[in-house]
Amino acid sequence: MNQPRGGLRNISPEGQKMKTSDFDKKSFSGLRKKAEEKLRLEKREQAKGSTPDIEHELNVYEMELKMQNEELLQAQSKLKSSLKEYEELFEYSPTGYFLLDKHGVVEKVNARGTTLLGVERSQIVGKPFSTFLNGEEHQDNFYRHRISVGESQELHHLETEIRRKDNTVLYVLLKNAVVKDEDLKFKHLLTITIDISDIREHEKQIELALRHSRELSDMKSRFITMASHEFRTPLATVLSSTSLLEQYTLAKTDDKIDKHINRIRTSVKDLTAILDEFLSLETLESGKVQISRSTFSLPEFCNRIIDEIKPQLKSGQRVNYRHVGDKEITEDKKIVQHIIVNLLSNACKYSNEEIVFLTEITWDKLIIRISDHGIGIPLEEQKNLFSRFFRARNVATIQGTGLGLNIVKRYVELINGTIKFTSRVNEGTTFVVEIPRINAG
Amino acid sequence: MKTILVIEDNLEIRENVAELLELKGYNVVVANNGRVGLEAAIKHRPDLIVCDILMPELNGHDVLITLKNRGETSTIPFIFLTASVEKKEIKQGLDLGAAAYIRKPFEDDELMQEVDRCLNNDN
Repeated sequence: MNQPRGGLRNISPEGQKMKTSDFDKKSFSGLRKKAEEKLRLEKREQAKGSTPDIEHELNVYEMELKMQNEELLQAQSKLKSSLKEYEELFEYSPTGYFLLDKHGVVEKVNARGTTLLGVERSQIVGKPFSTFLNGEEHQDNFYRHRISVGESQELHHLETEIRRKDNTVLYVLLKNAVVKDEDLKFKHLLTITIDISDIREHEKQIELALRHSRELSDMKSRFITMASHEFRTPLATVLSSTSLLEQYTLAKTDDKIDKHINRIRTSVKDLTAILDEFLSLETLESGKVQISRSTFSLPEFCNRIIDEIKPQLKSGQRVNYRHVGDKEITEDKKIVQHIIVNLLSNACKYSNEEIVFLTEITWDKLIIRISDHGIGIPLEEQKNLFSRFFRARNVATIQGTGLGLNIVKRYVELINGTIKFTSRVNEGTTFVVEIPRINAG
Repeated sequence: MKTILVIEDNLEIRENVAELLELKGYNVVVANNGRVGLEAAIKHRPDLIVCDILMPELNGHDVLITLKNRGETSTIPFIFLTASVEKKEIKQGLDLGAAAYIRKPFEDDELMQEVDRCLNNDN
């Protein structure tokens, strides 16, 4: 290969021309091609050298940068959308978020937070969170709570009250946690605020229902105790009088027979009266009582009631009745009678002396006042006086169902009246009933 | 003749129990409350006491406790007669040393059975 190449170098242009023939022409042309090919190959070889490598690296690097840039742009876009998502989550969370600085001043609040406080965001940011709490007690509690959260660095709960701008009060549950920065130093206090007013309301209703159920249970117990005792006493009379009647019938002792027949009759009446009280209560509670008013003379009406009550009076006991003002009144006779009979019966039962009974008709109302000098009602028990089945401790063995006054109060209220009493133990009790006149004004 | 003291605040029951016992041939003394009953027990030293529990002034349990603590009345058999159905109260009465407990309303036979049993035990 070296020889032809060296020979070609030594040939002058003339020489080339002198030897030129068709064959030679063809031969020359082939070498050139080879040489060019070789050169091209050499260039290709050279292209594999240093300078084109750097260029290539640069190209690659450029490509890499472009790709990196694209990735960065994509990441940035993802970050932006992610940040937006989180901002939206923060902003539109159904829970109120407040970011507080170390002094408890609001740095940031979400939409729900502003709704909870009922004020614009601009009126919240920069103000201490506690200014929105309901009163000093809650503010102090929150202050102590905030300090303890800062010290323990754990999520803490606090139930408190928010006073909104419109002065309504919200019950809220605060969940507080310290958020730290990269250096693990206090960044802000996150105060998650949850409106628990509905829960509180339901809790109240449950408590109320529970209390009601306890009252019912308590009342049931009292009813059983009362019914047991009150029923058993007249029943014991009925049964023992029946036994005696059997024996007297055999002995034919008529006066004894009459006594025990009367005794049985009275005991049955007592039991019926107890059952009537239950019935009255049931009728009143189910709203079945119909008011039927008529016009009548009150003093005459009261004197008839006193006559009916007389058998109940103890020896030496009397009713001192007096009426003041107009005589005629328009009211439901049965209801007024029930009220007066019950109050007079109580006065008979719980005292031994004179009962002062006063009625008065003024231009706008009817006043019934019944006073006794009896055992009175202990002060601490007075609040329960109108409760069903309630009987004060000092009634001892005086019989009663604990329903009478409850029924009286219901009747009084049915005709829009009021009932009040004053009482002192061992001094006596005064009941005052006031009923508005139906044709007054 | 055996004497039985009946302590009961309800007039009808007091009289009926007394009548039932008298018809059986007992001598009956009555008292209308615990305090009067206690005085009668000390005064008459009855062979048996039939006593209500819930009474004004002094209740049946207190009457029994007082009598048990007095030498001369401590052995008198005691029957409680009451409208109460509370087991606690029944137990309390028996723990105090009552011989029997009769619940109102009671049958004539039931009362007589217990009266006989107490008086026979006493003998």
